[in-house]
Amino acid sequence: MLCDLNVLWPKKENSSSKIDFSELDKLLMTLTELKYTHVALNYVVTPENVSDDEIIQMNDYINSFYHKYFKDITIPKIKLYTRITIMMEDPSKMQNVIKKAGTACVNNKSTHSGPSTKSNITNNTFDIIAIMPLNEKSLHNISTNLDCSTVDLITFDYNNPYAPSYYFLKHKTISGISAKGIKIEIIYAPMLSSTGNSTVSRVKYINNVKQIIRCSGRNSCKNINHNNTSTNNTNDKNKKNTSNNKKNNLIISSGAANSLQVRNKLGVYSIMMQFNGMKNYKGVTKLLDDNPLLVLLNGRLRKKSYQQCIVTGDDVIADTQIGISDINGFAVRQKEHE
Amino acid sequence: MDKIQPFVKDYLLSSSGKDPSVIEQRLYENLKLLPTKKEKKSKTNRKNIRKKTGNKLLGLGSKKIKKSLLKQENYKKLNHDSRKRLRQYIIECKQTARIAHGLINKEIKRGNLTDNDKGECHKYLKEAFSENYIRLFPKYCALKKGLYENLWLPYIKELLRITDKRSLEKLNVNVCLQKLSIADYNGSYLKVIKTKNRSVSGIGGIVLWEAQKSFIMLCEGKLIDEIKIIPKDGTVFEICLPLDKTPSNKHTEQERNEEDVDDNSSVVFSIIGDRFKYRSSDRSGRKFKSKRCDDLFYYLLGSENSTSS
Repeated sequence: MLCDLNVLWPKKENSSSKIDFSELDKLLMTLTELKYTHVALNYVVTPENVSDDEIIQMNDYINSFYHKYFKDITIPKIKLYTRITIMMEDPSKMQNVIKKAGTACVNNKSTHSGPSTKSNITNNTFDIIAIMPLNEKSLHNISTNLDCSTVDLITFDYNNPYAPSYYFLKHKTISGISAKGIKIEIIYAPMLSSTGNSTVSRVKYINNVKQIIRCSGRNSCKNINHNNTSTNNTNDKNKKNTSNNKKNNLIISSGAANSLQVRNKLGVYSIMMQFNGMKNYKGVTKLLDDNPLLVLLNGRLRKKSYQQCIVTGDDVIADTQIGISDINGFAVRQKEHE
Repeated sequence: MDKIQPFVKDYLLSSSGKDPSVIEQRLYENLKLLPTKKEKKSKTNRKNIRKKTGNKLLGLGSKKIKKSLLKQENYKKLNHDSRKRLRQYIIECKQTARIAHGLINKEIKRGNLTDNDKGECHKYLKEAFSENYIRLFPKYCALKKGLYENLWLPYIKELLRITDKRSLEKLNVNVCLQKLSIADYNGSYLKVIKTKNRSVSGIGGIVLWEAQKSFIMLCEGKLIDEIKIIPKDGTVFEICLPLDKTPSNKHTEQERNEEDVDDNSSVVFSIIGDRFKYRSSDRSGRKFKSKRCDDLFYYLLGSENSTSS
């Protein structure tokens, strides 16, 4: 199992023009060749521009992709999911936007065009909701106000070389975020891309990533274990894991827009080792398969269950299964004839 | 106070004739001041309860327990006793099942019984094992009809308002899930899909009692049905609700045949045991909260194995 939770969804140049999907198709096919199993399409927005049409378009694309390249649709080699990342500048506006991304964009739609869209309530929400804080203030707001019930991931703006150099990250804020179950993302594509002033941007990129790895080091994990009294039973088991693998709250993903910017497990390890100082091979591979799967699980449970308690259907992660059809969000299984 | 007051008699005598027997007839019964009926009844009730409950119900002879039963104040102790009894019952059932297994295996080795005949095995047990045979009850088939099909299924379908396939389109999923989190699971059929603990995987049975951290189930065995205690921690349970047959409006035979194929379908839900660890009485008023889901990693691994196999 290999996961890549950040494949960029192509942007529209004009409002009228159609999106060109040929590049995205190539990218996804190279990912299947590299034996990736779970991939999320990433739709980046500012809070003013959250639109309802995009999620429907994404779902249509995913269905058509399965039909194009795989004979047996029920067991595709690569599973596609939808993800939204919201650029966060003013924390006061965020509550409404997150709600909109999670549920409310469906309600707006249903008023326009009747019961046909109403039937797809669970299909019309994003699988993963991520936030990209642009200030220190907004990062602090995440650690205090938001839960894992609303947000799954936090990313930083690695791509932009002209962004102000990063504010000093503290152990306390990062450990507070990871104690809630929200994970932090590292992207490796800006290391490989050669657009713009590449040397400056790469230096900045390495600096930023190193800071994040430092913050989520061994010490921060220890603090979590001592502070958390509510989950005593799980902590004893987690302590063993944390002593071996320092970084439990990080994930690595590509953030690629080209098929050239994607790497295999070993390739990612060599990048992380040489430039960012992560020398433990098992530690790096864990950030590529186990931790992103937990992010997916968290997102899917928000979509398909009532407070992680009761779930529709057998399997949360798989969308299409053998012998199970989806009617209005209910999973209906047909019995085999004896 | 139970005597007739003298002034009443005088007053009545003054306004009537000479014969006192006539006057006594005039005294209504409800005018007499007697001890009220309730007090009388309660006395007799207490006596009855003492006679009935003392030894037969509890089976424990000490006097303290009797008093606590009558007062109903010592609720904790009573509850504690019921717990003890339940525990005893389960242990006894397990022991008898083990003994019965041994007996049957001996007979099979001798060649008197075969592996497949459940009916004959039970006949043999009735004869050889007559004292403890009663404790092998409840039997699975009887419970499945009585508890599951006649009681629990109609209850849950009425709660969720699920009847046939067309009714699903009108319902809202999130409301149904919320209702299911409050529902009662005594008598339901649950099946374990995914677990940390491999020895539990694949077991299904009818729930006899839902405890705080475990389901006590009656599982169907090949020869003898057994009671099993399955912990909620680290397991995912599946609920299957069979749908009713849709009334057929279509006339052609082909369409009818297609509908018959669809009629065997059922709606599937699953319970995550780790987030369900509350007493069934507490669950109704509780607000569930989603937590950090690092401990649910087994859920992912289980799915991967099933698809590969």
